[in-house]
Amino acid sequence: MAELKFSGIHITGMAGAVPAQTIKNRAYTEHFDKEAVNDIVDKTGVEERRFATESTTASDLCYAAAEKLIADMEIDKSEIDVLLFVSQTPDYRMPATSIILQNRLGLSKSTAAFDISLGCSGFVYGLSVAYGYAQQPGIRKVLLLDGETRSKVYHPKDRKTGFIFGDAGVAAIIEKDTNIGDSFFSLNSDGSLQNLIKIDAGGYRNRSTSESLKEKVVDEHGNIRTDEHGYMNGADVFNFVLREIPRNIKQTLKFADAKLDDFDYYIFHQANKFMNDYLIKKLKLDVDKVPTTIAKYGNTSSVSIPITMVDQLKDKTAGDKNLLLCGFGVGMSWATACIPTQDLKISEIVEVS
Amino acid sequence: MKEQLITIVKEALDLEGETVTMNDSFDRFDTWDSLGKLSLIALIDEHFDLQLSDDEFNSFETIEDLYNALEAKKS
Repeated sequence: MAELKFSGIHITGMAGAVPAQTIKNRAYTEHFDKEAVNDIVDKTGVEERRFATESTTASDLCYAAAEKLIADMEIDKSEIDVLLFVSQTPDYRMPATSIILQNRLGLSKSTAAFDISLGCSGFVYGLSVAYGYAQQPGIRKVLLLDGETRSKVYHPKDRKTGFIFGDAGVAAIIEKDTNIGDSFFSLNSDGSLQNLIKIDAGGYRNRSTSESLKEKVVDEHGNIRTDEHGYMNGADVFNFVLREIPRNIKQTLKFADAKLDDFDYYIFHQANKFMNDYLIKKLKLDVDKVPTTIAKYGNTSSVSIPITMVDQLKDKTAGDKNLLLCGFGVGMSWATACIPTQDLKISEIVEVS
Repeated sequence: MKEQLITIVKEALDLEGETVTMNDSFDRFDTWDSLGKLSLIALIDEHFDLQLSDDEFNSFETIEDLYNALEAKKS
């Protein structure tokens, strides 16, 4: 069982960046009629999303967030010993984007840098890696970057995905502090469900060809995409979440010897409003302790948990806070974390044009 | 339970005021799309505390099939 426990480690600062371009979903009626669009928006709760420009990548958003964080926290860049980049929309197929960011941010050549390729569970996974490195005596600060341009993954003529996803990037600093108690992580995977959310072509199993780039009708509802666009079977994903997520949260609480009431905030992956409302109801959570950004940023995959923290918990993290994070999605992959923080500094969100 | 299931299907698929029978095929309803399925899964979980596996969920055609799958789960 992948249950991990760390002592004396926490997130000390976070910053976020979003593209300046705002897509208002109810007015996004280029490919579907107004009634259908309103139906989708009513149920998913995604009113607006941010779309990166053609030339802006996830790493650009993370770079902006990292520079903001480093400036606001007055961090000495030479103290950053590890740089992690969580994303499934990297700059290139190689080299790893984290290494490009090491140079762009002006970090030392003795920095460890690598990418983590996970979707909606990615921030919690990335955090567990960051905590693991931070525990090492020789590591001073870990810079965890998490960015996505999911707007470029899905086809606007596929109503199953075309109104949900948006773009964002975050930066977080993880370091030691002897005042901080224990943190607990539970990490999980089920590759038998790989087809629930997937991009079929463009990798090395199904290479990119002129055929894989052709638009085609993919179902009886007339949805259109290419084989190099993502697809999602929302009903099966929801089934999976209902089955696994409450169970995993309970399991993690048991491991942490904690109760559900022990937390100041519960930050879930922002899949859609329907799913999160259902989880709140099912777990009987106080809705005021469950911050959400689904209406303003949509689903930004792995970035949705940390961008929700940056956007909604700013000025609410003074003193000791106990947070429960839970991410779930493409893989399928899911992870829960119970983490204490102390005076977590959250910067103002940066807009990237 | 059959009556309750029909009520749930009507609520999930926005079919209030329409006649829905156990023999109706889900494909008959325009609202049987991924959002309709989400609503149905949620209501079944809420009212019967039952979760169907992905394979089970994709195997039924009529409301009767769904009913039988739920009955099999209960016992």
